[in-house]
Amino acid sequence: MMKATNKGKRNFFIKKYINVYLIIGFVILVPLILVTFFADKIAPYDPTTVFSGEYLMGLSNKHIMGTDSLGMDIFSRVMYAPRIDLIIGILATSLGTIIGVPLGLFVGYFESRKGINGKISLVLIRILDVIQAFPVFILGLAIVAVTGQKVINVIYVLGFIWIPVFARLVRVETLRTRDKLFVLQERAIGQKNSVIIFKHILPNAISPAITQISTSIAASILLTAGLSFVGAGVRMPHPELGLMISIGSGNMITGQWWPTVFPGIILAILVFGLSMIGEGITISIDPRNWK
Amino acid sequence: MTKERILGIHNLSVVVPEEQGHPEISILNGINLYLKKDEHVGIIGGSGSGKSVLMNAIIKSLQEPLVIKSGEVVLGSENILTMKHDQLNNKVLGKRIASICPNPNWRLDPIEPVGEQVKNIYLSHFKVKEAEARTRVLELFNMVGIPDATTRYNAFSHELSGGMAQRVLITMALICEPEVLLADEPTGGLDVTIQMQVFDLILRLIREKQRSIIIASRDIGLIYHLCNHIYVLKEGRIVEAGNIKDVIQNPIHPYTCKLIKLSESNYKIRRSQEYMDLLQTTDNKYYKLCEENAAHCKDGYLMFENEHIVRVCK
Repeated sequence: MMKATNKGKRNFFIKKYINVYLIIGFVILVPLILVTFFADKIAPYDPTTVFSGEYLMGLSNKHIMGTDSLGMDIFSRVMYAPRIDLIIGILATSLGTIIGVPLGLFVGYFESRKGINGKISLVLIRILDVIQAFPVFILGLAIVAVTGQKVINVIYVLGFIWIPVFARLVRVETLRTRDKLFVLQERAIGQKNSVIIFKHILPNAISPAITQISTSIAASILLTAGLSFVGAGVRMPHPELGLMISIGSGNMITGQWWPTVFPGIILAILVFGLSMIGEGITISIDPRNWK
Repeated sequence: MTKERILGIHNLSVVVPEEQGHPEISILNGINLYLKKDEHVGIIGGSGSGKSVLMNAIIKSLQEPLVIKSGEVVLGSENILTMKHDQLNNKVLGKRIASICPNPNWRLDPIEPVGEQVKNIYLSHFKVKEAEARTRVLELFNMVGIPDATTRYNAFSHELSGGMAQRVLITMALICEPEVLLADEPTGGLDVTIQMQVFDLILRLIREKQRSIIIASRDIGLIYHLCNHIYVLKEGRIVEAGNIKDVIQNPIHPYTCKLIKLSESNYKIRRSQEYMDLLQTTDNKYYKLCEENAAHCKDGYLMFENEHIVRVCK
């Protein structure tokens, strides 16, 4: 009897929240994360060990994915690399989301309204424009020049860049939602602004931002590579997917494709898994899709 | 027997303000309307006559670009239009005035259970415990005739039919026990059978607690059954006002005559010549009315017995 109800509840939960996107996303990401987490145990070599004399070796039994131009084992590096990438991507995106989403809600809800809040939001939206127009690499270089080359600085820089992106996404959705009839109804009945914003507008306006989260994590990884390239990101011996791609790209012309292609494939799988999860969450939090 | 007046609208004008190239457009023009305690006022008028704008202006929730140009809305002894936003929100809306609107399904948040929505309104107006608020919502759901209220409490708006959603909205309006209800096309967008149910419900609600209500509708039958005072709105002006029996049985203004005549006509006479003539009633009749009564005219209005007022000037 007890078992039956539990099973019923579990089935209900599965029907309500789980969808095919989430399953695909987890099937891809969970093994990847497990591998990178236990990389010390399963990787054949240390990722920063240089095999002297074995530069740009092709695929062999000793080096499954070959070696790069410095003679480091690509298979081991690829196993370690998602660690730093995921940390940078997730932290930078969280920073952007935590600041950007409330900002976008505020700006969207009060934009072109009378009163002090309307004026504040007008100023804020211009500031966001300026931030978005600011070149990311200059910003990265400037911050690194002041504080030194640390991974945390990469996170700050990228987080700073994501703020206007999230704020604008949420702002547009908020603008669309705030004049919907149900918001007008709530206002007409004297509901508090705070309740309207957080209980009605935020849940209705958040879904594009959730999809953007997975895209942002992926884009953060790519931007990290760019920052590394100008000397403001992760430094060379450290395994990082974007850095591996950008360094290996020089060897493509001469026919050594493996230093670039393998990290590229891993990056693509990572990004695909993240975007599947983003899509899955967007679908599963919307009651209209609940069965 | 004079009753206490609880809502008075004096000389209310709403305009679309002048912009480059556009002259000022007048939407409502010098509206005077009074609501006494336990009185039911009906507003009739065609599409675009300003019924909804009037309803929204009363609670100061006009949409852009509409602006209140002059006039006052007096509730008890306070002018709503000069109130601060916070004061209006906390003390007046919901607690003293609440509105019931058409398109009920669109007026509920699509991703929050309907019961929670009603509960949240109660919680932000009164300091009570969650469980207490929930009980109150369920009580009201039962009162307005929502079957299986406990299940419906967790339903989403897209799972409710129009009639059910309208009941939820009525609950939302009633939860803080307002003195004045504004019903803007309460049966709009519902089919005839559901219209009857909602109509019966409103009738029951206003009889039970002796609430005052203003109903704007195109449905003259509804107004006739529910109201004891009627205002006829045309192009933003009140053209005829008075006791419901006087106005419906002896309409004087040509526009009122037309509205009443047309609402009586059923599908059988829709193709007759009389109906066609009626549709093409022109403004000539106004001028006739105006010329005939020029001597008795006061500010453009003619007064008859029983506070029956007719606008004669264009």
